[in-house]
Amino acid sequence: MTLPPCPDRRHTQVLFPSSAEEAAILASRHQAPYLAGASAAQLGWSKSTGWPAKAISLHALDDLQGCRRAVDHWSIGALARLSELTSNRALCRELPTLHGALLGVGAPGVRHLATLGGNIGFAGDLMPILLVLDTQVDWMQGAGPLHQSALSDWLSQAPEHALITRIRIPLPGPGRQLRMEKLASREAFNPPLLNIASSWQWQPFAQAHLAAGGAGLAPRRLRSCEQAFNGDATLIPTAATLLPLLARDLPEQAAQPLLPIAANLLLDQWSASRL
Amino acid sequence: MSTNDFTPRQLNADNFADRWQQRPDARSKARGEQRYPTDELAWPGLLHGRILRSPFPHAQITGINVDAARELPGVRAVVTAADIPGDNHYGIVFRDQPVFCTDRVRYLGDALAAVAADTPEIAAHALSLIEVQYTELPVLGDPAAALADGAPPLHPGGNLLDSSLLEHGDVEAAFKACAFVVEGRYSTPRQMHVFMETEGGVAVPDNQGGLTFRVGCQSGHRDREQLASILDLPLDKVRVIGLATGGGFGGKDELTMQPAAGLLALRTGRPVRIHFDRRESTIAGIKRHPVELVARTGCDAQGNILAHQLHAVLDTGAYATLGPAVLTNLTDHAAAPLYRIPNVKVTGQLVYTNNSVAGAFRGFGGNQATFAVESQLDKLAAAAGLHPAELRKRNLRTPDDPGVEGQTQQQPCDPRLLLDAALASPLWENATESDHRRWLTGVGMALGAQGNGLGNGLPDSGGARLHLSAAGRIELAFGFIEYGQGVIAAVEHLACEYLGCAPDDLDIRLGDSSGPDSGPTSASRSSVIAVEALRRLQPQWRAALQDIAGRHADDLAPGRGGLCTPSGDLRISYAKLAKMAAQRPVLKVHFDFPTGPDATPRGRYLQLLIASVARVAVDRLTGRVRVLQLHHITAGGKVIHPPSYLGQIEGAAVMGMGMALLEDVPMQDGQFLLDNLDAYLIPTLADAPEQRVDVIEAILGGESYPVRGIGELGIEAISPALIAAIENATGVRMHSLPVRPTTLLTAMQEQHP
Ligand SMILES: Cc1cc2nc3c(=O)[nH]c(=O)nc-3n(C[C@H](O)[C@H](O)[C@H](O)COP(=O)(O)OP(=O)(O)OC[C@H]3O[C@@H](n4cnc5c(N)ncnc54)[C@H](O)[C@@H]3O)c2cc1C
Repeated sequence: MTLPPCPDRRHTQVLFPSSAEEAAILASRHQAPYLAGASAAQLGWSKSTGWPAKAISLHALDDLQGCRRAVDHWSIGALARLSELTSNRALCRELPTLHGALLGVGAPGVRHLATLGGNIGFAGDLMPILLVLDTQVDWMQGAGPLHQSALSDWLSQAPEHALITRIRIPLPGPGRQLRMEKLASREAFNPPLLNIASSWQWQPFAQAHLAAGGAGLAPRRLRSCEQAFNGDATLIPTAATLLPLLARDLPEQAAQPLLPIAANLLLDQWSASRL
Repeated sequence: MSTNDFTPRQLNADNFADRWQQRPDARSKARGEQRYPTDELAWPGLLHGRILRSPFPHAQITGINVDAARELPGVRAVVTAADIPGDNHYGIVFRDQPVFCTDRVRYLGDALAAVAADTPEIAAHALSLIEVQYTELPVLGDPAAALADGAPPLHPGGNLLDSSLLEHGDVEAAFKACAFVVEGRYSTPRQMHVFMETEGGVAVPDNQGGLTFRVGCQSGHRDREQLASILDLPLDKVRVIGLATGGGFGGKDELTMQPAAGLLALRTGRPVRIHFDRRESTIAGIKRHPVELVARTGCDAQGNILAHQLHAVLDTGAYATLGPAVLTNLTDHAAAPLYRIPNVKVTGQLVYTNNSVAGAFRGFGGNQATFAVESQLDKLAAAAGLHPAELRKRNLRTPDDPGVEGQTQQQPCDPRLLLDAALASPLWENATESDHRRWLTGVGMALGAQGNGLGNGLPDSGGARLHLSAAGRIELAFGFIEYGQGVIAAVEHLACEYLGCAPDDLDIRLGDSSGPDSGPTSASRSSVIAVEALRRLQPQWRAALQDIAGRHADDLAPGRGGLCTPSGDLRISYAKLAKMAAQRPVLKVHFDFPTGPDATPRGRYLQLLIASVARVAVDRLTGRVRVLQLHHITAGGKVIHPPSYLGQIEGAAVMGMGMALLEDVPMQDGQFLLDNLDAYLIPTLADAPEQRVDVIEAILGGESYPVRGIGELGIEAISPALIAAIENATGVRMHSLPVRPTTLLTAMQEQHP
């Protein structure tokens, strides 16, 4: 039976590589996306984007599993499920803000499927908190070697069809305070309107890492806002001082009502970090 | 004993535990054993149907070719308008909606053809092989465009489907005499019913030229008439069984998949199942009418309302369905039926557009109007320097006042009782909290009135059948459909009250068009019909059973298990009575829904009242609104089954919260800007606030109509109560629903820059 162009999932041929290297090669060769938990992919494909001819399943790749505490960072396999991470007590103790952000993704059923690598591929809700934590990603592209990049670089220009193998989250130093808030329309099971995360250090000198993401907003560090805070512990920000900086960091939101909300949330996180 | 003594017992602390009983369907639903219409998968030879829908909101059809689809292996039938033996149109009020379009498509959900195939995938594939040629036409994306000069008419009568006028007094003159006049422009969203079970079911041929539909619907009998006309079959060849359905709320009042499934089943001689997925349900399904309302209301220096004027424009989409009836009900509610206003003018326009079809939805236009009216009262109170409750108190109707059209009505009680109870609500304590906090709290209230029955003199009758089976079971049949609202619990409890039997003695049969016609399962009418039917059946039943028992049965009455002595001892079981009977009783009643004494009934005779008090928290940083608590005071007759009563009031309130704060299907140029629940958000369990329901059960005017249907009451006053609470918290009054965080924050910042 001949089938029409791509109306449904039967058109997608799923390939099952047995190693990360093979997966990266197949993805480049076929210009194909990866399937991790498939929770974001299926949602997108069932809409107008259509079903791809081929997809690369990562299911069998044990190397991409696991969540380990190294000396100065957490090393998490790209295939680690979000529910596996929320039930990791040590991770929850050391990075409670990340734990809270993980619990804000979808609902339990979604978190059982969803992976951390997939959340990065989807540019999901976890990006702002991972960005302010200075997260690094290990990745490989085609037959190339293993690379390590800052997540912020990856997000601003992800190498085509590259495979993330591990996510490395540095442990925040003593005195560093983390905040994260997801603004959504309802209490649970929520697509975000806006995610704002921040990480603050006041001693020995002021240093802020700030990030935003959300609906139609590619996740990113808020560099202009950061500059205003960095090195100046005495700065008392106001909405009026933050708004032009935010407009520079989020130019597509410049005249939008989301910008004042972002400013409010940043101010709130700043003042909470000063308490 | 007069039959009126058999009114349901009042709920009180002494009988609470006794009356707080599980619904008869609770166990099967909780265990996942309940079979729904879309679970009908086990039919031998079952085929899967799919409907081809238009990709354009407005276009001329210049050609349609189904040959390739017909040739696809596994396809058993492809049908278009050419295959319809009867009338290619349906619609509850006007038959203006084609089963399959022939010359023109008027919205994205318009159907062109349907396919039956061995698997759903083959059916989907076959749809993609159907070639349709279109010439796109200008899209009428909103009522203004549709009413503009030169707009292409979507139907032969033009784009103004219906208009309404309700007027008494002289508003223009009265406004001149007002000390305070307020104006407001309001808008309400295109809300979706979001039933858990999307539209679906199966059509099964009986191999004698007839068909049985086992579907999710709201009126088996009315659907049977429409289907017989489309399929050109005699009525007795069409049977519609409305199975226990996963939600209706008005969205299954109109035909959905039945015509296509019926046609395919007749064509193939095999059962055909159609089940809309969420996307198809979003696009083809009925919605709540989006309404733009402009209102002007004025009072004298003492706060006596002298004049009220309102104009409403309803976007009814491409076809009529129940739109005209919604307009009538909206007009009635827009005339501020709770208040005594000497000069009123309400006008309404129901406009065809190339948008999603709007029709029946819990509240039926009333709640959109109540949002505007109650908001106007709050604004007027503020302008006149009065407490909102005080303004209401000065202007409330008494139960003896006629309705807004001068008609006689049966009010459940004096509305002042509800206002007083609302003012005494504990929610007002610490209504607003300190400004230093991030979350600002506020409390607001609103009143609402609701009627039962189809109203306005529309044909509205109902009936029931009571039968003693050979096995001694009491079979009680109604035409209503159980779609989650709990009519089965109401019928069980009422039957036990009126017939004296135990739940175990009863077999309740619902929703079968081959049984009694009880009228549609809509307009909050089922409980009223059930009470009226059982009242009429009760003496006949008793007499029939006594007849069977013969001599010495005079002292016996129907009771638990059979005929019992006055002290409740069982004497002759129902099984024995069935054996003893020369002819087992089959009792039928049929009667008109109560419409009151007026020669020309207008509006709705049986009335209900609600006051809703809402406590909200508003985030000063983001504009996000959380509903913390809701307190309802209801006057809707006696409570039949307390868990169902609470479920209806609380559930409707959460649905109202959705309309006020979250839900809308935005459209642009006839295109849907969302088509799934990933973007259309409804309140979750985590959003459902703590709720309290106080019931005024006592009914005025004796016990002639002791029970009213409360399925729609809970949604009536939620939006204005929430908007008042938001204003109380923030000082900002919102006029457009749903209230988005960004819009509210912007308004808050404009107020306090
Ligand atoms: C009902 C529902 C609710 C949701 N709610 C939320 C929410 O609240 N917040 C949120 O952030 N997301 C949400 N999502 C989206 C999604 O579930 C999550 O973002 C999830 O983390 C994606 O992970 P996954 O493993 O399922 O990704 P997949 O769907 O498998 O993949 C997503 C994308 O990432 C790419 N990808 C996957 N793994 C890798 C890898 N190792 N290297 C490179 N690219 C990779 C894929 O090619 C694809 O483009 C929701 C989804 C659904 C269905």
